[in-house]
Amino acid sequence: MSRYLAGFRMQLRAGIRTPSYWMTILTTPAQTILFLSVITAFDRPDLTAHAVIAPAVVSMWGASVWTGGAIVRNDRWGAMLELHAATPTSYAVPVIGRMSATLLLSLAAIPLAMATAWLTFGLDVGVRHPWVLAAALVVTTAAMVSTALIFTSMTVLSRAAITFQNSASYPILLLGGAFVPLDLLPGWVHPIGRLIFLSWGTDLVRDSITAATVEDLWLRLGMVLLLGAAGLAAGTRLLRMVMHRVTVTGEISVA
Amino acid sequence: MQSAVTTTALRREFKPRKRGLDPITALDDVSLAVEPGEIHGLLGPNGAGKTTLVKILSTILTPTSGTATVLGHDVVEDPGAVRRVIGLVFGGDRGLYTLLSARHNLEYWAALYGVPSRDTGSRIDALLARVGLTRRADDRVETYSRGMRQRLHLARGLISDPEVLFLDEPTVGLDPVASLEFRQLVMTLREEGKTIFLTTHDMGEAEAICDRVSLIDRGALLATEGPETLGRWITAYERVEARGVTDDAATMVSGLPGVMSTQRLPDGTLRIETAVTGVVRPIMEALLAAGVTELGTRPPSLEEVYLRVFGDRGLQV
Ligand SMILES: Nc1ncnc2c1ncn2[C@@H]1O[C@H](COP(=O)(O)OP(=O)(O)OP(=O)(O)O)[C@@H](O)[C@H]1O
Ligand SMILES: [Mg+2]
Repeated sequence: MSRYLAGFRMQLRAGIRTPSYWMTILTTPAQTILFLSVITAFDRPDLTAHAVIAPAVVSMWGASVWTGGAIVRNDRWGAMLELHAATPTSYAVPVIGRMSATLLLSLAAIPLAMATAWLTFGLDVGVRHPWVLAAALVVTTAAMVSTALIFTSMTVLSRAAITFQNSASYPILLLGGAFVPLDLLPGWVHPIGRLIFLSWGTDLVRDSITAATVEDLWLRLGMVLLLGAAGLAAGTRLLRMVMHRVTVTGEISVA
Repeated sequence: MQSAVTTTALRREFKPRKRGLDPITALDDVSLAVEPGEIHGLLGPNGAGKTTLVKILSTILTPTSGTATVLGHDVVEDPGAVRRVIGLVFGGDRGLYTLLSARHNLEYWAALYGVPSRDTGSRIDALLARVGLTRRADDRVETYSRGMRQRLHLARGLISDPEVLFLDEPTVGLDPVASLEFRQLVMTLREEGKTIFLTTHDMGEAEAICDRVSLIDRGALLATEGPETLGRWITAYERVEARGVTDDAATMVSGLPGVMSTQRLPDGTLRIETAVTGVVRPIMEALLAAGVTELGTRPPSLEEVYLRVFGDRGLQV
């Protein structure tokens, strides 16, 4: 735990001074305006919550995948990747801590999107169940960090990975219902989408804003956590494997 | 007594950059032993395999064949046990989080080495004091000089209070004063009983602080010697350099007994290499008599000593 926190703390300290880690959040207002323009043009004010949540979730997922890659790239260039490999702690632990810190900052995307809706279109996104929203955001953020670790591992293995990492992680957004709820996508993708933590998370976030009552709250929170934990298990395992692999090839030191 | 570090027939190859080429052999059949509490130097020119050996011993590179142990733990079979007892220090600018202060860098690594949090603060204070960074401890590393960074590297390597410390060319790029300070710090560590394995391409450095020195070239271990042997080589193969030497005087010098060769450097300096010991003085006296006033002796280069001592075996290609 103290090792995770060490990563978390150091990223807050360094990350505040490294705009590239949280810069993606700044795309949120523009994207919010885009989504809101569409729903206004089609006269669907009932979709306001969707239009606000979509850009925030997109930028948060982008921030987690991007941060993981940037941490590895930075550590490799600075020879810190080797120094981590020489410690008794698995690299995944501080990396998760560091990604959590960035994701915590990136949560600002949610109020940012809401503020944009209010300032530009005068739309008030009233949240009906603030506690459910908070809980949904916490578990979804944690699951994002955990799952993004899988993509981080790819960056360790291949320096080229950073270029296709974002596109490789894109299906998660689509199948995770970030843009439109999974229910609106073709039926045959539903089973796949339900295996992705994000589809449970985004539905819950939207329900917490618009639904009269949120059904199956615990089950749905549990699903986000369960699938997030699966991502964590896969990510840490994969990272351990690729860290070992690069000590065999020697690529750990190639900057 | 068990050796602190051993390697047996250690070999490391790297895949060639292009297909069809032979693999690069960075280490070839290296067997050595480092005794507990000694400063053991690994001396060799660029590309000799020094960094490769340090990386294998610190578990961040696997050997192609052969074995290596640190305090009895095999680096391949039980890397975790090795990591708990070693510290690793690189030379050069890399290896620090420059946006963080020295203290915050050390806090981070302390946690990763599992230093109990109640001990962290006091240990960091003590290390910062030891390496002379207390006053600048809370400034960002990006504002540090090269020498300060190197001392922080050392503090980082010591954060887990390791029994065995690996230093890879720790004084590279430091000015003579900073190098001297750094070497003095390293020698205080020996007094505490730590085992230190240090790489360098500087014969003078190896002679000054090492208890024993292993000489390596092109991946092969040539010999392990005491510092006094190195010192003897440095004097034996000392060269004379003189400025403002006329061609006549140069011809006269090249005919003196014991002179192996004379050579004009691009800046006009005459370099005189000797073949036997004890002739430096007569050469200098002859030069003075010929009216040359700017002259002195220089230690031989590492390559030259290798060539003289090991002949073709140590010859650079
Ligand atoms: N990751 C790598 N991939 C391919 N070749 C490598 C790699 N690392 C080292 N080598 C090669 O192995 C040989 C030994 O390199 P090494 O870095 O160990 O030498 P060194 O003694 O530390 O040199 P220097 O004094 O320049 O630091 C060199 O020929 C080098 O090119
Ligand atoms: Mg080296």
